[in-house]
Amino acid sequence: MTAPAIKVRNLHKNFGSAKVLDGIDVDLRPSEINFIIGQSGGGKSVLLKHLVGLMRPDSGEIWYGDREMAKSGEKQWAAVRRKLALLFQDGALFDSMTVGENVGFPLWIHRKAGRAEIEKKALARLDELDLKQAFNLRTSDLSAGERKRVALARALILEPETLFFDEPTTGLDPLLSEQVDELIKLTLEHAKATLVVVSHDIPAALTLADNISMIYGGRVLLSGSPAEFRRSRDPVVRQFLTGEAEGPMGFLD
Amino acid sequence: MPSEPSGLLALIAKIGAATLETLYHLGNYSILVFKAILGAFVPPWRLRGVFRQMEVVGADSIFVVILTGFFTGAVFTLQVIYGFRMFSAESLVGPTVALGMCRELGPVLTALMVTGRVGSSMAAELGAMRVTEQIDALTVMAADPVKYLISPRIIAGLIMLPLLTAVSDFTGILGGYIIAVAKGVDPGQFIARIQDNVVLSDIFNGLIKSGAFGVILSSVGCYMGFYTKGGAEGVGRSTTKAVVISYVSILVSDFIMTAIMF
Repeated sequence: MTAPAIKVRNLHKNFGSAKVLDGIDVDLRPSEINFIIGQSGGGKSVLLKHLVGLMRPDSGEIWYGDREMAKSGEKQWAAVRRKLALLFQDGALFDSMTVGENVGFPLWIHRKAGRAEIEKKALARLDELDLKQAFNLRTSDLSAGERKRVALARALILEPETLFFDEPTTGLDPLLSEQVDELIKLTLEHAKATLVVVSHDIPAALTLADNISMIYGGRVLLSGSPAEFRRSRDPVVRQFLTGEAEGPMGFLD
Repeated sequence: MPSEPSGLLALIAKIGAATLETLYHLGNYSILVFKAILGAFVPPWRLRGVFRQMEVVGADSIFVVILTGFFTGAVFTLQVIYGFRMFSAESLVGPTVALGMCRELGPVLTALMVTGRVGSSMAAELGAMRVTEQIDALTVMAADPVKYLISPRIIAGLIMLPLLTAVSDFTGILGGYIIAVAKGVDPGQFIARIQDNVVLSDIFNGLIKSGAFGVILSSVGCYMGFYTKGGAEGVGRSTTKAVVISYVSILVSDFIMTAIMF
């Protein structure tokens, strides 16, 4: 078995008296689709923010290969972040820029290419996602699905080794959700990156994931393949997968 | 569990909490401004961003600054003429208006006007970027958001406020001149007395003060926006705080600088 791309050990985070992460252990495998699932407000997004260095834990370890990042400073994180990208829930596109400028922004900010080449690469990325015609549009002119695709184009332009998705299908209709699922699959095929998807979309997790980790009560309750999740007899896992209101989790969402 | 303090203890606890919060924000603000200033000196330099902000702070504010300067000079002259006539000292109207504009009214009123127009918009813009995760997106792209967003705004404030103040000084004196002449003051005497009584340091010290005001209004606006919490409501709160804190800071720092300089 290959070594995990990202390893989290005994991660703790409290907000006041609320224990949000209470000893998380998780392995995220390279070049695979890793899903992190759990209830809303269960700490998935907090874990994600720790994984990209937007939050610092109270204690615990986050390993990128052989680099421990939990106690690292901004400089070390900047070096790691150059190899990762995050697709935010609402895209987090820059309102002050056009679609093309948004997609080319990571190249521009890191001075990876000249203006003409940045435009060419941004156009090519948009073309891959069938959004070439939106190049000169303002981001406010885009639909929710288009925003996700533009954000994905921006995330992919630096060819990251690890790509994080924060609730990629939340707020989208079933058709758009399916399109986003397709995008996740396509991303793995094209980019060969390690994909980490934080979601409460169970059907997507069971269909797309190579590995799933379920967070419950601030800890990882179960980690395994979709088949292992389907076979699980754990009442919490069962309730989460079936979406029944009655059960040990109480009301879902 | 300890019980909640009451009476005098509650008051002391409130004062203590407010003091701690103020010190926390002062510390955080100082770190942010230090990082932003440092960011301005460390390559890569993004001159386009600085020029864009100079346009927003300077060129886009010029009309309101001209209006404010002109009418301030004009109304100041009206009041001064009224007082000076009592002592037959109309010949001193010119230098009084010029000194008032260059040393005090030009720098302070320009800073207050630009705070209302630009400081608030900086807070709102950065606040909106914060709540829509655009600042987080910059961080995850390994782009330093302080260097990219705040440094150009502070540089623009530092450079453009003295230029706007110079415009305000000029239009204020012009407004004063027009009113003075209309009220019967000799135009040649108005200008000659300014030349006799206003020295370069009066103008330069005013411009130095305005540079400091530019840094204050832009950095406070950026700080409030950058650390916005709580969605659209939070953006509104940050904008209001940015304006109020900038106004108070400008007036307090004006007093301190004036006491030191003049």
